[in-house]
Amino acid sequence: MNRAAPIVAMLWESWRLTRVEAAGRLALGLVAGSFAMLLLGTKGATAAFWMLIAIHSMIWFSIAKLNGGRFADGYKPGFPLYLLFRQPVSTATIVGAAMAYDALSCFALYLVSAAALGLVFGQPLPLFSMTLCFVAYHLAYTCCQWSTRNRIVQWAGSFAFSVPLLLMLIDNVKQPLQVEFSPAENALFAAIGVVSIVLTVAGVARQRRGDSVEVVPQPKTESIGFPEWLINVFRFPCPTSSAARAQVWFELRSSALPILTIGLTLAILIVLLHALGIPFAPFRVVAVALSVLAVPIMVFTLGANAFGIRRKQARIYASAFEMTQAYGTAQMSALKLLVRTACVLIALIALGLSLWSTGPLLSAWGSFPMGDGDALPGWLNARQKLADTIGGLTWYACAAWTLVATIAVAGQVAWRAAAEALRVRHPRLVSTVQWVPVAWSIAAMLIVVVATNEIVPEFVANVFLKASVWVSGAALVFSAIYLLRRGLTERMLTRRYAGGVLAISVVFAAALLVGFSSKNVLGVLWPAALIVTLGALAPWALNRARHA
Amino acid sequence: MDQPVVDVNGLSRSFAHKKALDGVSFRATAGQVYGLVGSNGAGKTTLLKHLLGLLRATEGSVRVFGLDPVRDPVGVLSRVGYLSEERELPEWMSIDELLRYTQAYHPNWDASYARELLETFALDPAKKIKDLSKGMRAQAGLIAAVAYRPELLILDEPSSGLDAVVRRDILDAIVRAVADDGRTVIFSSHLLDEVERMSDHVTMIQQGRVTLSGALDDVRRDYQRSRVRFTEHFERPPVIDTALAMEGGGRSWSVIHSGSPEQFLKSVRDRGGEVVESRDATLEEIFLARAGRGRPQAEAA
Repeated sequence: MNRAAPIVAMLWESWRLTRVEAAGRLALGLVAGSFAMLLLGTKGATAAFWMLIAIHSMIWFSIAKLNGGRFADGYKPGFPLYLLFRQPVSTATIVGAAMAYDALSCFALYLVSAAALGLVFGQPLPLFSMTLCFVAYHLAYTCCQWSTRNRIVQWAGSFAFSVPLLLMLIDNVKQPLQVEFSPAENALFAAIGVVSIVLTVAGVARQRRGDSVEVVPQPKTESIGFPEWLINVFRFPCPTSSAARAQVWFELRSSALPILTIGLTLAILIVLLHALGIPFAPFRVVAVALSVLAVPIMVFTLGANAFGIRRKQARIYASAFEMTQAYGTAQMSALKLLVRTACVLIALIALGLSLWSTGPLLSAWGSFPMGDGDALPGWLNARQKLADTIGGLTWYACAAWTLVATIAVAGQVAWRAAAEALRVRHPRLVSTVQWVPVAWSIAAMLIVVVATNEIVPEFVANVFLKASVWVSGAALVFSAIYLLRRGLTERMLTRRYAGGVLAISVVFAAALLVGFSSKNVLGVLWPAALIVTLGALAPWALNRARHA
Repeated sequence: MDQPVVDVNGLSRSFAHKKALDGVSFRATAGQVYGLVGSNGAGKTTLLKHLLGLLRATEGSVRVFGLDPVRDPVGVLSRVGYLSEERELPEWMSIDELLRYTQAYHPNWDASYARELLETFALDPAKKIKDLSKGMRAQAGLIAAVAYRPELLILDEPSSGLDAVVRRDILDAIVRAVADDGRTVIFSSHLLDEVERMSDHVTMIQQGRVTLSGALDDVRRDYQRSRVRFTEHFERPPVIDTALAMEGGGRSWSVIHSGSPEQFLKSVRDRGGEVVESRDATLEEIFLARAGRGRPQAEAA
C-alpha cells in the first residue's frame, strides 16, 4: 500500500461529507452574487465579492457537525474527524489532509463563483490575488476550532484573528474592484498558515493521546450543546406538581435560558462595543458587524432545533430519554415551541432595545468610512425615518405589527424544529425541499433576466411569478388539511391543539390586514395558510421522530 | 383468561433492506420475568423499542396493556419503566433533578423507595450525571425507571459494560421490584448466565426471528446434554437424530439434543454407541447449539 492511499481515502471521505453542502454554497453564491450584480449596477461587483467572501469563508459545517451537529444539539468541541484516530496514520497526515481539503476546496468554490460571475456580468472579481489571504484565514480558523476543546479559546481565538484579517482585506480592496496584497502581507499570510497547521497538529495530537482538557466525545452519552456553566446560570428546582411544568423546566434549563443568556449578552456587548468605538475606531467595525449579525444569529441559529434532535456522526435521532416520557406528542411539541419562541422573542426585544439605544453613541463616532464615503449619515437618517414611521403608527397598527412579528418568529422556530425532526426519517427529502427556494430563486432570476433583455415577452415572467404564488398557496392549503386530518385520525393531535393553530392563523391574518392595510387577499391567505401548515407540521414531524 | 401485558403479533421491521425483525410474535403476562437473548444485531433492541413506541410497527401489531404504544404513548409509557443500554440521560442534570423530573410524570412516585435505592447504590443525589461512571449511570437510570413501581419494566442490556458487583446490585433490585408485587420485567441480555438466573421465561431471537420461546424450566427440560461413547472411531461427528450440536472426537462425543430421548437413544445405539451420562443443558449450551455454533459438520450420510 503506498503512502498516498490513506490521504486519498481521507480526501474521499471529506468529499462525500461535503459535496451536498458544496453544491448548496456554490448555488447560493451564484444566486446572491447574480442578484447583487443585477440590482446594484456598478456597485454590484463589490457587493457580490463580499457575499462570496462571506459564503466561502465558513469552514465546512458538514465536517464540523460530526462533533454532534448544530448548536444546541449535543455539540462537543474539538477535532471532528476523531474516528480517524483509530487508523494507523500519523496525526500530521490526518490533520494536514483535513485542513488542506477545507482551505483549498472552499477557495476553489470562491474562484469558480467569482470567475463565473465576472464572466457573465462583465465585471471581473478578484481571483488569484486572494489565494494566500483566503487560505490563511481558513487554516487559522480550523486551527482555532480543531486544536482545542476549550470553547472560550475557540471563539476568542477565531475572533482575535478574523477581525485583523478582515480589516487587512478591507484595507486592500481598491476601486475599480481589485485586491492587491504587498509581498510582506503575503508572507504574513503564509506564516499564519504554517503556524496554524503546526498548532493544530500539536493540539489534535493531544486529543488523540487523551491529554486534552475535556474528554473525547462519547457517542453513547446524552449531552446538550451548551456549556454547563451556561446551563447553570439560572438554577431552580424542577417542579414535581405536573408533567407540563416539569417539561417547561426541562426546556428552560436545557436550551431556552442559555439562549436567552446569549441574547442578553449580545445586547449588552453591542452597546459596549459602540461605546468603545468612540475612542477606539477599530471597535466600530466589530460593533457594526455584531449589530448586523445579532438578529440572524438569534432567529436562525439559536431559534433552530427546538425539538432537540441530536446528531452523532451520520446518525440523526431524537433523545430516547425525552421521547419515553409519558407525555403527549402534540403537547410536548407545543411546549417546546412556546418556550423556545418566548426566549427568542425576549432576546430579540433586548437586542432591539440595545440597537436602538446605540443612536447617541453612533452620533458620537463622527464618521464611519465605507467604500468611498461615510456611511454614518445614511444610517442615522434611516434610524430617524424608522422612528418617524413607528411614531406615526396607530396603537392598533403597532399591536398588529407586534403580533405579526411574534407569530412569524414562532413560525420560523416551528419550521426549523420540524425540518430537523423530519430529518430523522427523511434526511434526503428534507435536504431537497430546503433547496427548493434556492432553485426557485435561480429560475425566477433567469426568467427575469431573459424577460428584461426581451428574449421572452414580459408576460412570461409575470405568469411564472403569479403561478408560483398560486401553486405554492394551493400546496400549503392542501398540506395543512392533510396534516390536520392525519394528525386527528392518528389521535396524535387533539382538537384543542388544532383549534389553537387555526385561531393563531386567523389572528395572524387579521393582524396582517390591519398592519399592512392590505387589500390583496392572496397576500394575507398565503402566510395564514403557512402558519396553519407549520402548526400542524411541527407535532407531526416530532411524532415521526418519536415513533420512527 | 387475563389480558397479556405485552402482545406482539407477526411483527416485521426492515432498516434499509435489512430485516431486523421477521414475523416476531411474543406475549408476556403479569408477574413474570422475560429474558430476551440473541447475538448482537439479532433484533432484541428493535423489539423492545417497538414495545416503547420508539419504533412504529410497519407489519404486524404491538399491544402493551392492550394499547398501541404509537397511538397512545401516554397510556403506555405512564405504566412502563425503561432503562436503555445507551444510558441516555441528560448530562447536565444532577441525580436529584433527574428523579424530580421523572417524578413529575408519575403521580404514583414512591419517594421512600427512591431514597432506599439511592442509599443501596450509595449515590450522591447532588452529583451530576456527567460525573457518574457507566455503572453509576445505570444505577441512577434504574432508580428513575423503577421508583414509580411501573407495571412493566423494560431493560435493554441493563448490565452491558458493568462490573460484576454492579450487575448483582441491578439484578437484585430487579428481583425485589418483581417480587414486591407481581409486576412484569422484560430484559434483553447477552449474558446467558444472567438470563438463566433471573428469568421465568426465555425468548431467543436469531436474525430477527424467534427461534425459541418458553418457560425456562420447560426449555431446559427439552434440551439435554449427553456424553456418548461409540465403538467406532469418527473423524467427523456422526449423524444422530435430534442432535443439535456435537463436540468431541474419535469415540467420545458430547451432544446437545432436544425432542424425544427415546429417539435419541435409539439413534445412538444404531450407530453403535451408548449414552454414558445425561443432564439438562444450560441456556448457554442451548443458545450456542441453536445459534449454529458447534453445529456438527456431519459425516456424509
